[in-house]
Amino acid sequence: MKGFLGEFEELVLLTIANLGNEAYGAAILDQIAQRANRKISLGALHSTLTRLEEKGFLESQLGEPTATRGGRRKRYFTLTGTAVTALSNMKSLRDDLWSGANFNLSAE
Amino acid sequence: MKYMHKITQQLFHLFGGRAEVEDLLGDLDEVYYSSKERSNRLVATWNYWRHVCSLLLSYALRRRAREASYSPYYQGVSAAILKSYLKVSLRNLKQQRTFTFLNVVGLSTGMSIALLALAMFIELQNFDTFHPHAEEIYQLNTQVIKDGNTRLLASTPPALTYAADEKVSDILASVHINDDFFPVVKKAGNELALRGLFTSPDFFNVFAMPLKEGTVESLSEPDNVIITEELALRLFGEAAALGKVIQTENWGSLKVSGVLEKFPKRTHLRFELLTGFQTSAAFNARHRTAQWTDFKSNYYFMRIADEKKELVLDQLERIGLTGQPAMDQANLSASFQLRPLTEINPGISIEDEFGLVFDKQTMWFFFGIALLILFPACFNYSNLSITRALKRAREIGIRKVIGSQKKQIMEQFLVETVLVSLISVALATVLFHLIRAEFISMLVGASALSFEITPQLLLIFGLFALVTGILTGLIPGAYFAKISPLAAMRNGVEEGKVSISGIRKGLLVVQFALTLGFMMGIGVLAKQYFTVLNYQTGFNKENIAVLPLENHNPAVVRSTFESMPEVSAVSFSSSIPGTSLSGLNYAYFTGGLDSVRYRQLLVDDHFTQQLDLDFVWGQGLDDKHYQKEQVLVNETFMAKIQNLKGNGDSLLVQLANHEEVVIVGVLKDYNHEPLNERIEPLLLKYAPEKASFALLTVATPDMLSTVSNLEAKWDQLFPETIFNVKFLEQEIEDSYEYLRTGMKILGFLAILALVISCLGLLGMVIYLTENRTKEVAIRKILGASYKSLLANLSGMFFKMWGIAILIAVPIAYLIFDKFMLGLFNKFNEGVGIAEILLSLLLTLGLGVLAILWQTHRVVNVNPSENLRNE
Repeated sequence: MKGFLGEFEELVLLTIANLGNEAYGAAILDQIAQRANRKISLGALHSTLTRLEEKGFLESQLGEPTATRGGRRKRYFTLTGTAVTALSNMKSLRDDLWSGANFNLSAE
Repeated sequence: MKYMHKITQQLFHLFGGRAEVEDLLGDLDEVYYSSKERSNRLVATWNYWRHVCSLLLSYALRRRAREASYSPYYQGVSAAILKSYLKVSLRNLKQQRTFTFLNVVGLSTGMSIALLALAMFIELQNFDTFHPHAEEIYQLNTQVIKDGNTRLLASTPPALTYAADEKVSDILASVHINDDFFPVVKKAGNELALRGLFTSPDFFNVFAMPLKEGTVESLSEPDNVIITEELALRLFGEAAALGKVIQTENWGSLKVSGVLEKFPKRTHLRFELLTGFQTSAAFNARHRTAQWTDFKSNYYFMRIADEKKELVLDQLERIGLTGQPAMDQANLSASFQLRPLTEINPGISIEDEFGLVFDKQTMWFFFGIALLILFPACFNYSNLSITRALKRAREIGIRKVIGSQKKQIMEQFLVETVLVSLISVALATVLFHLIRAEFISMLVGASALSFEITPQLLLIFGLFALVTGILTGLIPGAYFAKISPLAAMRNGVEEGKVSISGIRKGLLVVQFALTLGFMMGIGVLAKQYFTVLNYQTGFNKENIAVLPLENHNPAVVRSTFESMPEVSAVSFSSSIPGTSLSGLNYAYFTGGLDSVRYRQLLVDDHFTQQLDLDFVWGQGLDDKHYQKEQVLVNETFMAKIQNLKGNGDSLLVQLANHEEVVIVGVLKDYNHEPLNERIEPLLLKYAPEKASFALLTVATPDMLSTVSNLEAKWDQLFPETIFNVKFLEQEIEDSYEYLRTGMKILGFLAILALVISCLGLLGMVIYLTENRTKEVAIRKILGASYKSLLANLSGMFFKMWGIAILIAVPIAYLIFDKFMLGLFNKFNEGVGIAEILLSLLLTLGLGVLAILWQTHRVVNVNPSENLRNE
């Protein structure tokens, strides 16, 4: 595995996992904006996507042209096996840490 | 939206080249429309552009651009590819020797002035940095507001600074300085005004100026001076200076109690001797007293730790408030500022300045001139390189066909230009070395600059060359990178047109206009110079030798020299006619209140006769004693004093020292001072014993032997003083030194401009003729005559010159006639036709030679050769 997953990278990967077959740039941006209430720029998002692809966590392919975007094709992203392993490793580590915490973390 | 799309597409192309961006554009659109639905159009548009900017600069686009570029080669610049660039460049430069030569000569001449400006700027950055804790030393400045006018002064009220010494504990060290100390000593008949400072031993706590001999504390005693090593050498030669006494005219005798070691020249402190405030009781009293309003020439330097700066300034302001009552009386208010010692040079020039300050404005002006010279040189380089397009089109075509990218062609040209500019800077450094001594002698205050060539300076010169090279290489580089390989391979350059673009023509015109301007400047100054030398000043200046008297008895001098057969007349004077007079005096009518300012000349009874001065009225002086002293005045004096309308005898005048004198003669106005001074009221008094010079009229065919005869006599009389003869005409000539300096500066600039513009012209002519070789050959075969061909080829240049002349002559005329001569004082009718024509002729002559040389070469070749070679 190349490097560690950053917080934002993890967020992007999980968002893609949530979107399933509809994971492309604008949709991811929209999801992150709605769910995490974070305003990020397309440039930052695409840079992260490119880096994740380089690290082998993502694969991408262009879809078919549709009428909605002036005939422009979308680039769909899918998670790779490494990404799934990395995410689940991350989750189990977090669960471990949460359960071992010395005081109550689920603060209200 | 359509426009936005287009612009975005262009931008993506610009930043990302061939990168695949379809999906990015789609995303942008989608985000835009959804944002528009949610809020309004304005917000959406704003967001859209924000996203575009972030994408343009994003790693995503960079990565895609890199993937999309078609070249399989390594993208960065490696050592191997640099080596290859260098090799090709060197081969090219070697192959085109003429062009390399023209370029190097042009660029190095252009750079030489820029190097001078650069060196000066860097040296000024290092001014006063050699003192320990230099960055903690500040000069206290006063901002004075009076009648709504704000003035910033370098000086400070002594009342404030002395109080600060006692009350402000955070001042680590401080010194009071007053620069109103100019002891005058006599040397070889000339009065030398020395630059001195009043200060205290504290001076040495603030500034790093170690003593060679003597003690620092001696400054606390009156009439002690500490002198610089140079002054010691000048006054006492190699002999030990410590303990010697300097006899001054205005400050009595001063004892040398210390000699400073040689200190770096790069300081704004300018002095030859230091003395304590105690030296002048009267001065000291005035200086010490709680003086708030009259504080000219009083300066204060202090050392404060950096973090205490604000605190100290605050305390100073508070002390300043105690002086407010005194200031209110003078109707002014003041606030105080700290000026770091290291920022004085180059800095902002403020009023009542202390020491040597090169202000930033002058520096920028200097840089402006340097750029004015450098820019045409760079432009010539670009022009000459593009001129080579024909020869190099094939090379570039082949490179492109094998897969070289625009960027790589560009890099090749940049390397080439940088190489040329590095060679040029080496040559320019040699030029810089040659002209710096001359430059130092021309610029006021430049003696504080050393212009030493240090490794640091060389490094900066190298960097300068690099930047110049890159900027210069961009234009030809971009030009060649754009050439289509197909066109280049097929028939040379696509743009193989015979015309030269408008911008290039315009720049050539500007260059010529500039050269013409400088040339005319020389002509104007030369004319002024010769006019003043031949001007009828109203006195006889021929064959008069000037001997400094050195306090010897004039009667002895007269009797000795008058007996010589070569000497026809002897007289004495306190000043050499034709040079500046010093000192001002005031005269009144008896009982009157108004005064006339006049200049005084101490002479003997032979003076007026020897110089052939004309009388308007009365007679000359004689050596008898009268109850009231007799004086001569000039017409201006008479006119001024008449205006005072005194009652009583209009010939009785009271001088400032209450001495009453009688006017016995009125002289016709003559120019006793240089022509740039107006004729001032002049008063001649009989006092040969106070005269400084003996004037000897020598009539002889053999000047050399006469001079040696005079010297023999002098040595016999006064073996201890050196015989030091000058001639009146020479002395007068020397007093117009500034005109010669002006001529030198303009001459130098003119030569630079001329060299550069001629090279530019030559490049253009070569470009033109090379493009038209085939045309000329065909014309020749068809029967065109030599003359018509020459006219055809060079016609355009004459047209351009016509424009240059039309632009340059009126502008130069206005500048020189109205502005320059106003500064220098106009001695004749100003700019004449003769010097305009002469400068035109000189400039054009050189240009014509350059044109004819090249066109002749093309026209003279056998046409069949030309046609075959194409």
